[in-house]
Amino acid sequence: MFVELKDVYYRYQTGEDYILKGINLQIEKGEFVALVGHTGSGKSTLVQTINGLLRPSRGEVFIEGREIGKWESPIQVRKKVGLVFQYPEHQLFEETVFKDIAFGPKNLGWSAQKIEEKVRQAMEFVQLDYEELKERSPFGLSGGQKRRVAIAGVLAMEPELLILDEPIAGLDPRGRRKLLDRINWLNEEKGISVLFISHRMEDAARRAGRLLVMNQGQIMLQGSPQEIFAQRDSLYEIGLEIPPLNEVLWQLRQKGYGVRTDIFSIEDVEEEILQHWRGFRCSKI
Amino acid sequence: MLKNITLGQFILRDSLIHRLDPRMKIMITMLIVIGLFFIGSFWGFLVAGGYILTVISLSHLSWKVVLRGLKPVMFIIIFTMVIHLFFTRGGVVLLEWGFLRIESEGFFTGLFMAVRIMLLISLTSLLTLTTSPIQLTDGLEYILNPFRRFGLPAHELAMMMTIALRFIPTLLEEADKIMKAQQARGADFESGSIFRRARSLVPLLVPLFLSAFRRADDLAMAMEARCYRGGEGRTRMKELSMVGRDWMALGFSASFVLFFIIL
Ligand SMILES: Nc1ncnc2c1ncn2[C@@H]1O[C@H](COP(=O)(O)OP(=O)(O)OP(=O)(O)O)[C@@H](O)[C@H]1O
Ligand SMILES: [Mg+2]
Repeated sequence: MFVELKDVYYRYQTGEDYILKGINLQIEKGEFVALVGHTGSGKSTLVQTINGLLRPSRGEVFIEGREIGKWESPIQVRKKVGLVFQYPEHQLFEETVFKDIAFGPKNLGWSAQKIEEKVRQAMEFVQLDYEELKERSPFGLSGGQKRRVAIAGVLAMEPELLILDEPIAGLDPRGRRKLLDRINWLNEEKGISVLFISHRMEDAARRAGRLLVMNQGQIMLQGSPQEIFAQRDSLYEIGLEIPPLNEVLWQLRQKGYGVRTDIFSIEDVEEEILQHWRGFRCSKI
Repeated sequence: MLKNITLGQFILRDSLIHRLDPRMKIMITMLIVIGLFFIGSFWGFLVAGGYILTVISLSHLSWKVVLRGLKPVMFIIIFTMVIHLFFTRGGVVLLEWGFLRIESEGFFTGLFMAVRIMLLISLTSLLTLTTSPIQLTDGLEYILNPFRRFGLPAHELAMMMTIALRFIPTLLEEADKIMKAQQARGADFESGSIFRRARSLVPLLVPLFLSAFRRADDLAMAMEARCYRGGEGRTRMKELSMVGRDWMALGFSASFVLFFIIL
């Protein structure tokens, strides 16, 4: 077990209510998990307990079987669990792209040589040209480029679990797809576990092996995307919508067509509808 | 860490003090502050303390909240007291110990100074506790208005204050967020020498200032888009007006001031 949360409660000092109410969660090495939930359901709060930025009011968080408070220093936990915040481009501060990405590795006390190597790799990974951009000021880049610099800043620390808090919010469709592809690659080729936060289902659905649905500080549903999308009505009740494709299938079913609703790639759905269409015509004739 | 800062914190209650005209409250506060500097006797301080306690109970606030406002200045209060205790000479010798000597003059001056500062701070925090920032700046604008003919930009000053107050919580929240994000990259804000700690603030301050400028820019743009052009010819939705209770409050406070100065 890489990460395990046991009955975690969290309340902000300034707040009255618990924001997290008894979270139990496990993430294995190499998994790709998506966390969805409506605005204010506590997603960002939850992931901050995983790398020790917030200590639970009650309950425990284990990283590799060791309770978070029992690690020698918080930095070690943060090296294992890399967290990319919502709108990470707002945290850039150095004069050059290189220095900014090197900030994390430097805090880990790595040698200059190793830092350079990791920064280069991280930039290549997010598809930023190392030679061209390393000396540029991060503030002169485009929004999407800034976002990628910020993500590279976390990746350069070589985390074993990468948590991304709504990484694709505010990107155009192409930028979104590209970033998602890169994250997918990281998971598949490098074996890095990924926890991906979004409040839209379709972003996460196709790539994640497992989906967690949060509602008011609790994990309400969890399972494979197929299992989750089958529960359209309970999702609807907590303000979430299933992807348009699944909605189409669901509507068809409501109209009395016996289509399956537990598929979610565009090819599968096309096939399913076509099959029904053919069957329908044949039976009519 | 940043959450402990309370600045000009307003607590909404339904009380006589809350309903007073902000201009009157500001003027009364100034009056009492000036009065406090003329108090020369123990009894005067006692009466002034009684006045503040009366205001606290009339405002339906707990005295603990007012006391909390004293915490940040506790160091100054103690420092003042200690300085007077050891360095002001005169009167009889109360205590002598090596080269340290406490004389009665020093003891009493120190005590008076400490009490005076405590009363001053409680009074001003009472003003901000019972008056919303908007009312406060509105009141200030009215009070400063006559000085416009001497070139004082009263409206602009008030607007600046309103905006600054409005953005304090936002900036604190932002600072908290940036701090966490840098901590996620292994930044350490809490240990090391003073020099190291000052340096470690760079990753916090640079993004914070950038976002403050960005916000300021956005706000200026949004205000301009809605045709804001300063105070010229601007009317108000809520006109301030003094009523009976305001004059009564003034009378009450003024007699107190007279009383504790005379004592
Ligand atoms: N620093 C804080 N202090 C006090 N309350 C907070 C703080 N941060 C978040 N909250 C509260 O916690 C609740 C959950 O917030 P959180 O940011 O975890 O939600 P979220 O699921 O990430 O939402 P979103 O999709 O909008 O990012 C909200 O009601 C919010 O008001
Ligand atoms: Mg969030």
